Amino acid sequence: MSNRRSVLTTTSLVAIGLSLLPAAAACKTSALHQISETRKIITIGTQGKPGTAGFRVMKAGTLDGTIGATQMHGALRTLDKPLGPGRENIDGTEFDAGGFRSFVINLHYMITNGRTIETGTGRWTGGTGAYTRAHGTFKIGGGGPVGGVHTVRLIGNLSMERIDGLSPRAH
Amino acid sequence: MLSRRALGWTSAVAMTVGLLPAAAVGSSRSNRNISEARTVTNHKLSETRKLINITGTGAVGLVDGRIGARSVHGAFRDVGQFTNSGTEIDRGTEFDGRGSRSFVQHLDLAVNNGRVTVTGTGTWTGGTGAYRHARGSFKLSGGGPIPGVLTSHLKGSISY
Repeated sequence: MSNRRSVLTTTSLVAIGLSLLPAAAACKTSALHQISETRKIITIGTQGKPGTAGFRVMKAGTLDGTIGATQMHGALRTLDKPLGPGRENIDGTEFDAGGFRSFVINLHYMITNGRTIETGTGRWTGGTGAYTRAHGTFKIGGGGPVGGVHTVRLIGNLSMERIDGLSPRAH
Repeated sequence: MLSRRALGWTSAVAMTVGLLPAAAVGSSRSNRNISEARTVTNHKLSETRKLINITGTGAVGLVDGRIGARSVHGAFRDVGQFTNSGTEIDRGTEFDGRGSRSFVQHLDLAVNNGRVTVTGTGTWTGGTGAYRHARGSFKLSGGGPIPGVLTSHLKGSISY
């Protein structure tokens, strides 16, 4: 009886110990990084009926920049919701080799001489891979010809979990 | 008996604690062993790309489709090189929530009445995340107005 209890106790301890191993191996840390990007964005199409609440403009683009000291190159897609003259809400996702990070932007724009000038603020709302639970804020500014490629600069910060083997890198 | 039980506890604790630093310090080695032992699976791939040129030779777009039973939604970018009249070689990367996959594709282009028709073949040449070491091939067809958004459909396989 006593032997059996001892074996059980030993087994339980080994089990507890082994159950700690994945937690020890998958140690995650969260760190705040400066993020600086140049986006080149263009309209791909629309969803819904213009003038209705469900209307969205689909856009795609490239992104190149740095997160901290690490270079990053990727692509993005957005759904833009017009709010009224000169205002839009943007829901989007940026992808790079480390995973994806989602964002929302409150955008203001004006059109002068066939060109759009836009400014806005945004925040990161999560992601996958290196960007799991990404959060932080940023500012954007830029523009381009109406219906053409817009070049937008983004500067801000990004807090992300760093997991070994999944970091943003040049691709 | 008590001392033997105590010995059993001590050994178990020592063994358990002894494993922890090795697991933490040696995690990269463990990961490497796991990746060496990974199984490569071949998946059917079916995608629709909507793309548009943003520079003289570069294009961006949206990617939506399926890889195996899994839906994929992402974006892509590529750079093209015209080899001679009507043919093009593109090198690019598709991105989705599970990582990135790189490709090279050879296209035949035919322009008629302001529209371009595209057919071609491509290969997967690697990637990151779930698509690390991606391999496989695909066929591509599509078209659209010039200038404007081109829609192309990919069908093929990808192993990772």
